[in-house]
Amino acid sequence: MGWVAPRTWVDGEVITAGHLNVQVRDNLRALYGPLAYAEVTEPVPVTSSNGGAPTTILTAPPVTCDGVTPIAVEWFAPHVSAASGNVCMVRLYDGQAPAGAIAYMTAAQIRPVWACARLLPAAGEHVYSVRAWVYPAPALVAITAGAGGPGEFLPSFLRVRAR
Amino acid sequence: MPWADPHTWLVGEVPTADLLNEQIRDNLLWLREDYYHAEFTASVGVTATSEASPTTVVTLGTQTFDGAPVTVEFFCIWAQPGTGGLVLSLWDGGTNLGIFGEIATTGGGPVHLAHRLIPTAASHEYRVRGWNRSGTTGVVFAGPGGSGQYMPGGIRAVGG
Repeated sequence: MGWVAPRTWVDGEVITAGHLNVQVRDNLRALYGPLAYAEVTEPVPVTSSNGGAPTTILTAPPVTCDGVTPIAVEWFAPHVSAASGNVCMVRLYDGQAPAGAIAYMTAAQIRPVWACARLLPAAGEHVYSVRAWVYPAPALVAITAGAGGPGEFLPSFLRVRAR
Repeated sequence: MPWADPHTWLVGEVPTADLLNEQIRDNLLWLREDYYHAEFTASVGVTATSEASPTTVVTLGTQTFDGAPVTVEFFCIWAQPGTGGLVLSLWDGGTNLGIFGEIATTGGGPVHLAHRLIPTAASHEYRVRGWNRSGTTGVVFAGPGGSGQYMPGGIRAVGG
């Protein structure tokens, strides 16, 4: 269950199990854990050099929004590299619609990236994804991730949170 | 107080004070605060060149977890590699969980790392430790804050 607008209680109201389950149990769960989470445990080469058709890095499971509550969408990768002469743009998508760029790597940069966007989505279901392209030469920028352990990178993840 | 799994309320159930305190008071307090956090207020020179015996940058200390998912995060104002890559790994006690992040950009920059995991219901000591891919010392910068000073770096565990 997603976040539900907190109820305004009135004098004399009988508090039902249904109220407690929605207002307490489900809202606690929404605050505690991510609304949606996806991770990738292997490197993702960015093969696209076309901003109109970027390479998908991660797609999160659908989230249902109420149209009034903001959410936070976070993307992390432990290692992003851009070869000399290239730039890499990482963009957040809501379904097939670009929501905006969330990270930009200039030439010869190698570093971890944590990016976050606070959004107020329209009521309904939303599927968020992060996609990237490199200019001018594709396949020279990689989002590096792994399964963890000695010598291995930890995962890259995309997470939607209620807080 | 650790996180308590949200209770499913039943028709006719009488909510006890203990249950309300656990489910509402304690869980709201838990959500309001970091699960655990620790800071470091001085820069750390990372001299290690071996992944197996790295330089410890910061430790969360030995803490008790209840088996619920957490996200371990690390932040520093600036991490600067030597001539090769500066690698920061996440450790749980003596176990290397993997490479948390690598900085090889000339001059480095601010770093924010995050990893979601499900610790066993037991004590764990999460640490961020660094090593260099070449023999040159990298630096993880931090300070006490204040005029002309760097802000502290830190590690924390938060729910979810």
